[in-house]
Amino acid sequence: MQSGQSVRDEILKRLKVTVPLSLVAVLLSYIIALPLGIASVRRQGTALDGGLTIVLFVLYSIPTFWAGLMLVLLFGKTGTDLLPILGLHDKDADPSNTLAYAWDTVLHCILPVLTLTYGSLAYLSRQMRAGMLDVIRQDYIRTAKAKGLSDDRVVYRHALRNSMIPVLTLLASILPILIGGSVIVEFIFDIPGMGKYAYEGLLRRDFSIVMATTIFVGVMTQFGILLSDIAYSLVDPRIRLH
Amino acid sequence: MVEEVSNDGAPARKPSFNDMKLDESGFASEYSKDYSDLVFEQLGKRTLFKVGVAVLTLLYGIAIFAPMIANDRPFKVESVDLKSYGSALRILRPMASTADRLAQQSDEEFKASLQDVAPGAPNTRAAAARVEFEAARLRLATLRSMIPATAEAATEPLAKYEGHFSRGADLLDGGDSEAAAGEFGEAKTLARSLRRDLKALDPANPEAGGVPLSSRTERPLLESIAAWEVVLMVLWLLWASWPLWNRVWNGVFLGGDRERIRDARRMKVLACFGLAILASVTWRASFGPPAEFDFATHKQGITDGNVVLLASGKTTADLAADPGAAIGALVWPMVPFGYDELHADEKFRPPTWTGKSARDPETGLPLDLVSDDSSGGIAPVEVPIQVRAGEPALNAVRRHPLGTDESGRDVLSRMVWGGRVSLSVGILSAALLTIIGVIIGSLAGYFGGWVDIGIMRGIEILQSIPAFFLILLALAFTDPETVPPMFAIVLVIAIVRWTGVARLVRGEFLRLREQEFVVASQALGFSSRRTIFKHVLPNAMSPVLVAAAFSVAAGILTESAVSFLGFGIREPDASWGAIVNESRNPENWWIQMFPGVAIFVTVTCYNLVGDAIRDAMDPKMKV
Repeated sequence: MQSGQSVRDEILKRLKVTVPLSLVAVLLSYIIALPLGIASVRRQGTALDGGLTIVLFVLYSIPTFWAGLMLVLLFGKTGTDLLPILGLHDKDADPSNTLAYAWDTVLHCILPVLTLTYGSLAYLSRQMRAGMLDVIRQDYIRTAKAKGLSDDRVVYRHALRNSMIPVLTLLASILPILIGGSVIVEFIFDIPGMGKYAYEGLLRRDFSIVMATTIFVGVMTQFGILLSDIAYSLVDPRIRLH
Repeated sequence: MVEEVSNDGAPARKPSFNDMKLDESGFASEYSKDYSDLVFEQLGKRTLFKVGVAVLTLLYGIAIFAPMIANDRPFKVESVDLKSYGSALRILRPMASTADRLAQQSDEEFKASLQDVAPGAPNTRAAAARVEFEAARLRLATLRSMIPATAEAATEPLAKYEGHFSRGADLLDGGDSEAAAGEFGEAKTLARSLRRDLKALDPANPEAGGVPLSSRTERPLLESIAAWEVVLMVLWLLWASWPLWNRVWNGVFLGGDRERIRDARRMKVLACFGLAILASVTWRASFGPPAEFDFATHKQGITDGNVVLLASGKTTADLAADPGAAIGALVWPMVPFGYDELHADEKFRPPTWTGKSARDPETGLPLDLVSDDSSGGIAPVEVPIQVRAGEPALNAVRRHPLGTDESGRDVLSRMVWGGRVSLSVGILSAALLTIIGVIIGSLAGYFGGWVDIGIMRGIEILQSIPAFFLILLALAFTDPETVPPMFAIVLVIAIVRWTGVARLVRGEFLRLREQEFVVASQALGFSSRRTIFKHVLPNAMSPVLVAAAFSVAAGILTESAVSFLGFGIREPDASWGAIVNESRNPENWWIQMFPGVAIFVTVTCYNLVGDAIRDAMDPKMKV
């Protein structure tokens, strides 16, 4: 590497930033997307469903970098000045005061995580809605209803698991998007993570950085696919891990 | 774009045999709807689809007609260029004396003087003199075009000068240096008196006298439009007016007969393209190849007073006599700023409709500037702002409705032009990746076996690295000098993103491969190529079309993100993403906000259209 540091150390340091950020973003988008999709299906045809569909559609079409910049405008110094917009910590943050330091980090992470999350969130809940709609038209759901089960029980016991399958497989396609997005998000919010590192490497045409980050990104993607396979078998007992 | 549909109540499912026999339309009873009839009918019912198509049509219209919307060249200018007249007149003598020197030189001296001349320069004295003569003839043509026909007498010495020069060049060709030097000397003396006698009449100072000059009418903007742009413009006009002329054509020429309307579809498309190409040929014939246009001679020239507006048919004498009546026409486009026109005195000016944008013309400083302690005692630099010809007044709202960037370029103009790049990258990359994907996917799906396994493993390897990352990587190592960034982006997106389409096509092929019509075509001994392209592929195309609509949106998003990071389109060229890249400072919010809105609207419309086409083609895939 041109600056004489070891690429390995640098990447390990930066992975500690990027991996938690991406994981939080993935978890958040699943945690929010699933209930949204379910709510949308349960109130199908109502104003709530229509409104949600439109909002998600709009969110899905917003370019990541633009969303990040607009959040900076909105919450940064030029806007409401509510949240910090650059880096992971305040310049004068004191690492010895653990609680305050953690809170500072959380504050700094809100906007980046929001920027990483909204796109996959919109995509996921659209898919969740579609999957759920597909499932509740099935015969066995009609049977469950005919047995006199409550709506809640039908949705959460019978429909949910089956409609989760296609959404969980999407983890494999969301992860690459998130990692690509981390380049943009870390660039905008000036976060010292893998994405920023890769960007700097590309900017300086530093071949060792580029090679290392590309391999790592590939490995992270494969790891995500593995995760989604495991989750798949957890939800669907018909699929066994060998 | 929407076929005329008159009936209602078509079931939202794939056409079955019975549906096709139904006739609820009131047209000829033997008419049956085909697949595209049903698709168009479904699409026609969707308001959102129509809105999406309308907005996209508008955006593409702005992009295609960008030169006529935002430009620093006028549509039409009637003027006389006093400066180029003066400089042409002044240079006649130096040119004659250069030729004279050539004639007096020996060949050795000339050879010696050649050493510090660029390669490709004439290598004999005669040829060098010939070059001078050609240059002089160009200047003479300029002078003659400006001297009105009424001043015929004035042009006589010009002809004499040309005659001497021409004879001199001929004599030098023949090797008679002395006689040539004599002729050139004559031309030289003549040029000295010409400079005095033919001095232009300056309308600002008519007492000084001189030759009155006549006006010239130019259309710099129209001349700069290339033939392919005309093709696109005509195609766009035909597309936008489709609902009008399609109705007339169907009603008048085809008598409302659905069968004939259906048969005429291909004919209509051909007619559109034919008309567009015809128009572009006509355009080329009337305007010639696109002219390289030096805007300084018009926008800057008029501002500086070197170019004087003069009505056609009048002379500068008329202008001096009655300045009001002889002023020439000057027609500017709506946004009279070029996308790369610099205005260093107006950098980072906020949108002119905001309160913060008002500027003092003398100092160029904000009117509401209050010096306070925060500036650290450093006085802001004062740069007076120049309002050039054709531009709105300094503090007019429509001067820079979307602000300016770091070099004072108008953001609105850049967005109009940037749309060209962004939208065409979307379309071109989607087209290219669809073609690659369809070819590779059909190979894998049709042949199966080792071909399939090889291709699928290749796709998996390619997909294991995030696409955006790969695209960034490829672009970072592409030299913008050798490959134009726009084509590099299109190529890289297509090469990285074809895998999705290939998988889709392969799946369709696997489904169709065992069906009877494919088996039948194989049994008839058709070649693989014919079976693939004529029989299987048309049946596999609908999901591919839907994927293509979405990949246009993805292409636009990718281009903007890549340009935003600085690896795509670079200044002074504009694309929506590249404009955002020009400043990330939250102070300059207008640079970041407006291009993003354009991207967002375009992508939303493509997603709407893609959704609608998917639903219309196969209601089962509904989301």
